[in-house]
Amino acid sequence: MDGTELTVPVQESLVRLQDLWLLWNSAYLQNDQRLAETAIRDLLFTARDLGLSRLPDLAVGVLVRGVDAARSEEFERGRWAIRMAERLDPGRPEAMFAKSRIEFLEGSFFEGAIARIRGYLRLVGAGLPGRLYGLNLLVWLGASLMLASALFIALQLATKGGALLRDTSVNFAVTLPRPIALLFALGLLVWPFLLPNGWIWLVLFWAALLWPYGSSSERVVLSACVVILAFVPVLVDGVQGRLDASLSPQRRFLDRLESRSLYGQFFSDLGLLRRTLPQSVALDHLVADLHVELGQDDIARPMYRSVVDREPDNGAALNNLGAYHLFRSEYIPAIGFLERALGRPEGSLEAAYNLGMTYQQLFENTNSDRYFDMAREIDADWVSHWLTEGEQGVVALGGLARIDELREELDQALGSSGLGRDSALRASGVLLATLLAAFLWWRFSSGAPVAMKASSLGRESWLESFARIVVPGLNSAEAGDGARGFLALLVPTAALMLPFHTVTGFALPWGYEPGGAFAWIAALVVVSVFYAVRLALR
Amino acid sequence: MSSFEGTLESGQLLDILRSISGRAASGLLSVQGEPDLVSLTFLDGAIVAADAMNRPAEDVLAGVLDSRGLLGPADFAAAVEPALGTGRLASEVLLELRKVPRDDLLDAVREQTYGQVVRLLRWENGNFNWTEDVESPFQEGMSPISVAEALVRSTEELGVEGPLSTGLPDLDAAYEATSAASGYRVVGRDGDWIDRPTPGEPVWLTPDEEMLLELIRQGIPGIRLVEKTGWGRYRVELALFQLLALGLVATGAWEEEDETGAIADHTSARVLAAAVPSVFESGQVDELASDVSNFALDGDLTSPPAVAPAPVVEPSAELELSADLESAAMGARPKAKRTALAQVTSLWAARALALGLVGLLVTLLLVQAERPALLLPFPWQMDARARLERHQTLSRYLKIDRAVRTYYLLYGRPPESLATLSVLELLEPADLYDPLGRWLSYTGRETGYVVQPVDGGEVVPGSELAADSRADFFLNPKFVDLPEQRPDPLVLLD
Repeated sequence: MDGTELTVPVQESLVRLQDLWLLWNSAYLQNDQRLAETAIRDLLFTARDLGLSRLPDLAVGVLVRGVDAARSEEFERGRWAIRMAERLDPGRPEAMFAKSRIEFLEGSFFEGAIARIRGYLRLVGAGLPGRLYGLNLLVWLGASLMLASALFIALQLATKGGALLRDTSVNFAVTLPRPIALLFALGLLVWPFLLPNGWIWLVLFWAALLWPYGSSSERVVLSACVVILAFVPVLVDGVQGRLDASLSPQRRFLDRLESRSLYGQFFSDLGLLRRTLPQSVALDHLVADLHVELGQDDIARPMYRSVVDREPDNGAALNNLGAYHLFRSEYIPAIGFLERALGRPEGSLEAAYNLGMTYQQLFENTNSDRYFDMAREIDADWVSHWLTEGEQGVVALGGLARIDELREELDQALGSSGLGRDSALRASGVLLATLLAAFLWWRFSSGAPVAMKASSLGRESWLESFARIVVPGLNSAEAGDGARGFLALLVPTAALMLPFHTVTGFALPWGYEPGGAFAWIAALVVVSVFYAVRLALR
Repeated sequence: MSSFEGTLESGQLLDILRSISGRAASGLLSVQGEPDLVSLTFLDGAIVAADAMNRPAEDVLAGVLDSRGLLGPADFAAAVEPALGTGRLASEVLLELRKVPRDDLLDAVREQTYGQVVRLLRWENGNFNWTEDVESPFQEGMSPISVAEALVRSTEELGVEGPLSTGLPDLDAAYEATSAASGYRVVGRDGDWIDRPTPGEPVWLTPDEEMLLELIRQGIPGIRLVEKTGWGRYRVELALFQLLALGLVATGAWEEEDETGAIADHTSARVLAAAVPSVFESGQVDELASDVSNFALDGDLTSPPAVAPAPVVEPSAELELSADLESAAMGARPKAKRTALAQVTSLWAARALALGLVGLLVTLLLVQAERPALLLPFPWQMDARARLERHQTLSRYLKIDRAVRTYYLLYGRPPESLATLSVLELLEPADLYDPLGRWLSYTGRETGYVVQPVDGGEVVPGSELAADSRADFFLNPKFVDLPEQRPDPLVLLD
């Protein structure tokens, strides 16, 4: 069991979970909904006995069965499978994706689309898939901005590059025939492509050279493009800095424990985490709490002792040690630990209640009332609740509240990092060098803003008319409207990048794969609307 | 002359505009073309109003005001509608209502007028009618648009499609009068209208062109013509364009051309400028005639330009010309023509470069192994690219692992292949490859599985995913160590 000691009752619970899962499978295959419901209910009861309330692995299995049934046109069976999966692991996006698939298979496209959207909305707070999806959106946005910036510079070259080439070739034409001079000018423009990853140098170089030829707004946008091209890579690297920890099994355990989920590798991941953080008091505290939740108080006690030895002011651990002795009617050590726990930031409420309960069992009503009053002063509602429930003693699960602290320890142990200072400095250097080059070129070259074309006047060739519709930002580039031109490029670029958002970013380890069709449909809709509006405004 | 009419093919709209401008005439010029009927109002030789039947001035003005953010179409209509049919100008109504600041409005009216003129200048054919001393209402206070401005500015904006399609003269160059510049007539002094050019007849000049020719004879270089005349660039450029087109002047300072190497034989070029009329007249070289007519106006509007009166050409010069007529003719074209060609070449070269960049970016996006270079392009980000690839691989392996375990949970055994998981919609087809585009081989075992990328038929060492199902208490019936042996769960499933 990978270093995690499990008592016989806990092992029996795990065996019971295995048996109930097999029972559910057999009930499902026999299309016995009632028996399947009973198996689901018992699975959840058993998990709750272990202090955990979700069974995500089984929920995904149920979803796959449901979609499989829908493929065989057993839509009703598919639906009750979705409902059962929702009980096993409520609020997961996978359930909505599977529901969406079933609705599509049945031909209910509207309901399918709604379910799909709900699935994506559920990604907020959905643990690792949600975080990775957020990262993917950031990477998608960054990549879209970078591409739009590069395309904006390309468009500037297409509309104003003629003047740039003429001005550049004039310098060569002093000594060379004009065609050769033009070739030299072309060579001067493309040499950065020979550098490693030449496209980025090419784009930055062109941005600097085109600076004098743009209008004021285009110069502002060109500067913004250089900022984007220099700094988005730094941000992309920065956001992936913590992924070493995020993608680790240790982090998966902490996430799942936080959501009270019991999954197949729960205990092996816990063992791995303990090997990764062998000296962590917070982890010992958390594992001790976990053992209490599993009902393994005897295994928890020495761990609490170890925590208290290293953190003498740990009120929650002191209270739990006191509670342990109280449950065994060992009142003197119980009072000793509970008195120490009083007044600490954690566990005071529980310690006061437990002291009240201890003195009540010792028939010292005065002391008992005093401590109950003290507990009520801290939180009367909880005290009332415990008394109503007849709790003979309560524990403080301060260890389970230390998950964030453990995440930070894990980040440090696995070498995660944030934004690289060196990268940021180098990006600043790129930015300054490009802007300086642009300034010097503007100051000392003969380049000037290129005259605008009266695009609304006169007759155009079919190629020009076609390009004017198809190439976003072309009209704005000719009119010298930088912001409008950039936005015109950004919208379709971002839309067309949407289907690539999982391949430029990270695969999402969710249980049920929704596929990329939705992203393609969304991209096509956005692009279609974009061009429809362009045509209408034309 | 109170009125004059004709067709565009023979009417030489450019010459008509030169005539009106040269005489500083006032009146109304109407041109009925295929697409529309356009009327221009002239005051002292400059355009003060323009209107079109199918594109009324009000509509164009509304568009200009809207595009400049000065007045929306709805507000425009609301303001102007009450005055419709009263004969009042929309701009006057707007001024009265103070809907738009006066200067902005006058500027917009000017732009609207200019737009109508440019449309007219691009027509290929039609009929025109000039009525002297008749005018349609025009907006007081608007700065008139000179014929020179209309022609030169529209050429600058439209390039080779502009009315002076061979390009504008280079004011940096020096010019000298050719021998053909001896006999000419001046519009306003020798007649009201520039006639259709006839071989043997002296060409027509405007007073501007005559004065400029005189300055050039005095040796004033092009760069000082604007300053010397005080006319502004548009008037000088138009007059110089005409003098070059008529062959009355030629570029005299060829040093610049020599430096660029564009023209090698200056003598033949200069001689040709003088010799063309005689060649044309004799009908020896029709191609050359066509070429020379094109250099005047390559565009659609005018007929061949007036040719210079037959000069006295030295036999030796004619001999020189006949040696290489065609190349000399090319060389004799004004520098403006070559400049226009250079502009077009540069523009298309720049467009080709831009297109190349777009192609490169699309390739980077579509080729899987190159995508990290798109996001993290700088040389010092090699480690970051490696980290990105590792994280992408790791996240893909996590996804595959989850899918394999789900399959195991459902069927009690590992899947035969990753493709099986794709069929069950647990994986996407793209998940069967690693982030570098390498196919992932899968080997299922009793106690787990191994996934490895394969490159060129060889397994890539050091990047595999090996998973052990024994550590999963849902998948391993022997995970717990209870004394009683439990039955095989597959029996239940079967």
